Formats: sequence, structure tokens, C-alpha cells
Amino acid sequence: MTTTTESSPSTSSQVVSRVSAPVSETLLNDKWDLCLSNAIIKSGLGLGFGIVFSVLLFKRRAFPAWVGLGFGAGRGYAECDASFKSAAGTRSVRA
Amino acid sequence: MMLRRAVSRPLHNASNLAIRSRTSPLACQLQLGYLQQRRWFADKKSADPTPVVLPGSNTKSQDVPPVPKLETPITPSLEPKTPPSDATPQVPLTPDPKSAPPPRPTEAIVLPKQTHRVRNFFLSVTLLTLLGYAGGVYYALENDNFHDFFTEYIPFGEQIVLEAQDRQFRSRFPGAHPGSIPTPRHYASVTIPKRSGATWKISEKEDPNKAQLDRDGPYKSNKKEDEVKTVTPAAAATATVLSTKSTPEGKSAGDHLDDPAKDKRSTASLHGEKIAPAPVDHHDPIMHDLVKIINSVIEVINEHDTKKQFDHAIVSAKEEVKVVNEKIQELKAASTEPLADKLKEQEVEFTKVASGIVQTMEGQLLAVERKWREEFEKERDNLAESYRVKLKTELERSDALAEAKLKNELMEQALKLKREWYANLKERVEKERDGRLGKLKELAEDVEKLAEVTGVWAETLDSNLQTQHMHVALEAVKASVNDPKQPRPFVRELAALKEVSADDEVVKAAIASINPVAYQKGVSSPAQIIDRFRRVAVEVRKASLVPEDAGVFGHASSWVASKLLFRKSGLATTNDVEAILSRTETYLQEGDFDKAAREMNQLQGWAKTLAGDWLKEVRVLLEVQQAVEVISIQARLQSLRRE
Repeated sequence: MTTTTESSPSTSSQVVSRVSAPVSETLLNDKWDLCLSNAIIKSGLGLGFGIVFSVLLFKRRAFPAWVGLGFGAGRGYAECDASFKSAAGTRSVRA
Repeated sequence: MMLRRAVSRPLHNASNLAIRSRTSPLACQLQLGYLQQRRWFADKKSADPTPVVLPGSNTKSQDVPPVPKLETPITPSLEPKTPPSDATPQVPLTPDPKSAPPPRPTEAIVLPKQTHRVRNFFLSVTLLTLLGYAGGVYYALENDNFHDFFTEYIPFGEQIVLEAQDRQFRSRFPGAHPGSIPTPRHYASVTIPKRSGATWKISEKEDPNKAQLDRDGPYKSNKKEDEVKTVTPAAAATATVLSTKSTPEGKSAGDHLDDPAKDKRSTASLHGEKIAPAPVDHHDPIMHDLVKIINSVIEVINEHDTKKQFDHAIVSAKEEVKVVNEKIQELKAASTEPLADKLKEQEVEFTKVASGIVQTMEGQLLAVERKWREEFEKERDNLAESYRVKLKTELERSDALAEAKLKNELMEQALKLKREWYANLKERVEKERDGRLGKLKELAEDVEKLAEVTGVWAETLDSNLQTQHMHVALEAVKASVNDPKQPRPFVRELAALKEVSADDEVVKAAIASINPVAYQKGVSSPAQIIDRFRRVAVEVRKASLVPEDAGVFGHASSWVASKLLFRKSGLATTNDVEAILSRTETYLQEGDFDKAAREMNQLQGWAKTLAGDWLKEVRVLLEVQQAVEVISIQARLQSLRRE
């Protein structure tokens, strides 16, 4: 925070300050961003693994791809939820 | 007498020895033995003592009778001297001549040797001492030096010599009183009376009871006393002696004549039934001699036991002598008268001479007295003179002392006066000085007052300056705070302000209350705050419906639902997030940041968390504004105080 404020005087514009300083009003938005990206990556990973499994083991069947996606999305969701709740003080898990 | 005794004692001893040897053969033998012993001892060194013993002893024993003769040579000079001195016959000293047949000692008898060492020793010692004393006395009589030595250092020497001298004297002057010669013991001790010596008194009339120092007396000196002592008691005798001396052919006085008669009687008594010696009652010296001769003849006869043969002749001789004596008496009587006249003349002469002597003596005495008196006078004068001198010196001294004392007193007084004068002078000077000093003091006080005033003024000026500086600094701070170009740090301005304010507690407290972040990084301007509020309000509205402990779905649903909410405006009365936001917005528009902050502080949950940073910003701004306001008020107060 201090670093951002120090750099801020030179650039008084809003955008710069917003980017550089993770101020309190952007907390939730940041969480959302993180959750979404995390969920996408995880679900993507799950999908990818499912596809590979389906190709390698299940003779190109679709269900392993879905299962993989589901695992990924689920993982993403869980982590996001934890991040929100931890902010509220109920859960403490690092995303 | 003593001398004679001393001489005769060894003789006696010898004779005794002879008698003993004669009377008892045993004694003789003893003597023999003793002699032999002596001989033996003496000849011990020679090789053969035995043949010599007997002849030696023989000769000795035969020599026993002449022992006295052996002794005599020891005092050879005494022997010849004594007989002439002996006026009286020596008859008693050689007693019993008839019992002196020389004994025939038994020569052949050799007795067992008896050593009488002790006896012999004592005998020899006594003999030697006696001989020594005899010789000493004799020599003392001869030599004056030896006399002194002998009388002084030899015990009993003095007595013996005195006795000898006495004897001699008496034999020479038989008339002298025997008791007249005093022994030194009977010397009257010299006693000096209490009032003797020189006195301060002028000699008074002679008092017979008092000591008379100016006269020759027994107390004058021992020597003179001696002379007097010897002379005075025999005063009568001296007269007679003198008379006899002056008239050598003159007839001796009565008592002088008595002495020979007495002697005669004594000798007669000694002889017993022997022929009585002729009485010497003669006045004539010629007769005296005659009688003496006859007496000596009688003695010889007596000694020789031929009394009867000479008896007759002697008696006739006596008669003759008597007759001659009578004749002489007659002749004397015839010549007495002219003698008496002569005597009278002489008496007169003597009396004259005596008176002359007395007169001269008196004259001498007077002269001596005068001399003493003169000396006394002189002494007295001397004493008086010395006393006078002493008195004079004393007086002079006391005068000098008194003068010195007076001088000292004068000096003291002068000193006292001087001191007083000094004191007076000092006092006056002090008074004057005090008057001038008083004025000076007043002046000094005035100056001091002025200094105080100036000091006060300077202080006020200083404080004014300070307040001015303060104001300037404050203005600078205010300017920096209110600068629209924010954020901008205002540390320098604040430091200047702090410096200017010096030790103003209020300013210090105000500055301390400001968050250090504020002046390090600067504060946001009101416009920025309002702008930021708009962004915050959107976010807060999104999370306005999020329940407590919401997860992903809660947040998502709140976000979706918030889009559907109606906007409120103005000062809404409800206490929901939308109303708070609208009130804050309104306050912000009015420019009341304080109230806006209060409103926003009411939010809860996620909404408050989201508005946290904005709130902080507003608070910092508010703090700075408050501090600046306080300082400005303080400055104003100070400036007001000075004026």
C-alpha cells in the first residue's frame, strides 16, 4: 500500500491509483476476478484431463471430459467460496 | 725514762734468760736446745751439721752471762749517754749482783730437740721491735728530720720520744716540776667563744668577761698556747730557774734543795740495811759534789759486801763532810748580807725591767687596738660607701623607670587620640560618601527599572515576532494542506511551525495529534475525496445485500439484487446501506466531511470493509484540518495576549 501511495503523487489520475493501490473498495472485485480465473483454469484443466483420459482410456468417450470439467469447476468453486468466507472470517484457505 | 726503759728491756730479757738458765738446768737445756736448733737451722745448708752442733752450743751456753754485753753494742750510743744523764745512781737497775754466779751448763747433755718456733718468733719480733724503737728514739733525739718522721708515722713514737725528752730534761733540770710537762692529750681544746670575730661595733671598753681578740691569748694560736701552757703553770719554778741561771754560783732556792734530799731518801730506802748514804742537805754545790762522791763510794761498798770494813771510815767521812758543810754554812751566812743587798738591787732592776716590759706590752696592745679600730673604721667607711653607691644606683634606676613609664603613658595617650581622630574622620567621610552614594543608588534603580521595562518590551516584541512567524508558518501549512494538487507532503512547513512555536504546549499537542502519514504523504483534497466516494458508493451498493458469512452465491446474488434496488437521494431517514450512502452523498455535497464520515462509519460487514480506506482518508484530512485550526487559534490567542 505504501509503495503505491508513494508512486501515486506523480500520477494523479484515477486509473493509475486504482491499478497500483489495492484499496478497500476494490476488494470484492478482485476476489471475483480471482475466483473466475481460478474456476476457468481449474475447469479447463479438468476438462483437459478428462479429454486425455477419454482419448487414452475410454475410447474417446465424452463422459470422462465432463467429469474432468466438473472436477475442475468444483475445485474452482470451492476455492472461491473459501476466499469469500475467509474474508468474512469463517474460513481460512489460501486460494 | 722511756728511752732508758726501752734500752733496759732487752737487757732485762737477757738477764732473765741468764737467771732462768742459772736457776734450772732444764731451762738451760731448753735454751741450749733452742740454740742448737737455731744453729742447726742456720747450718742446714752445710753438709755436716753434727760435729759443729756441740761446740757451737757450748760456746753459746757459756756466753749466756755476757748476753747483755752482746746486746749493748746494738745501742752503743745510748749506753755512754745514759750514765752521765743519770744523776741518780743506777743501782736499782742491776738487782742482786750477788746472785749472779755464772752457772755451769751441762754441755754434754743433748736433749731431745724441742722446737719453740712460736716463742722464738715472738721473742725475736719483740726484740727487733724494741731495738728498732730504741734506735728510732735515739736517732730522733739526734736528728730533727727523723724526729718529725718518727713522731708522726711510728705508733707510740711520739709518746716515747716525748718521754725520753722529758727524762733528759728532768735529768738536766731536776728542779723542774715533773707534772709540769703536759702530755699532748691534756692540751686544752681550743674553743672560740660565740661572740668572737670581727663585729660591727666599735670596740668598747674592755670587759674582762668578754673575749678579747686584740690580745694574745690561748685562743690566738696553738703554738703560742703551747708556750704559755708550758710556761705558766711553772711560773714560780721559772723564776727560780732564771735566778739560778743568772747567778750560777748563787745559792739555789729552798725547794730546789729539797730534791736531792728526797732522792737520797729514796735511794736509802732502796738499799735497806746498807750503809746510809750521806744526806745532802747542803746549800753549796761543792758540797753537793762531795756528798755525791761519798755516796758513790758507799754504793760501791754496799755492792761489794765489805760494809764492815769501810763502815768506820765512811762514818768518819760523813762527819767530815758535815763539819765542812757547817763551815761552809757559816761562811755563807757571812756572805749573805751583801748578797741580800745585791739581790734587792737586782729585784729592783728586775721590777724595772718587768714594768718596762709591761709598758711596752701595753703600748703594743694599744697599738694593736688602734690598728684594729682603724681597720674597723675603714671597713665601716667602705661598707657605708658601697651602700651609698648602691642607693644612688637604685635611685637612678627607679627614676629612669618612672620616666620610661611616663613616656609610655604619653605615647599611649597620643595613640588613643590619633585613633579617635581617625575614627572621626572616617565617620565624616563615610557620611559624605553615603550622601553621594544614595544619589547614585537612585540612579542605578532607575536604570534598572528602565532595563526591566526594555526587557519586557523586548519580550513582547520577541513574542510578537514569534507569533508572526507562527502565523506565517501556519499559513504555509494551511496552503500546503489546502493545495488542490494533492497529495503533497508538508513536513517542512510543519517543522518550521514547530520551531517557531518553540515551547508552546498547545501547538506541540496539536502537531502530535496529526498522523505522521498525513504530513509525510500529504492529505487528499476534498474534491478527491468526493470523487473517491462515488467509486466507493458503487462497490458498497454491490455488497449491500451480502449476508453475514456469505459464500460465492451470497455475493453473486447480492450483486445481482443490488442492481434491482431503488436509488435514494437526499437525507434518507432509514438506516439501510442505500440511505446511508444517499445521506453521505448529501453531506459531501454540502461540504460537511465530518458528518459524511460519521454516516459512512455506520456501515457494517462487507460494506464497511469496502469503505474503510475512504474513511481513513477523510479522517486524516479532518485531523489535519482540526490541528491547523487549533494552531491558528493558538496563534491568534498569542497575538491577542501580547496586545
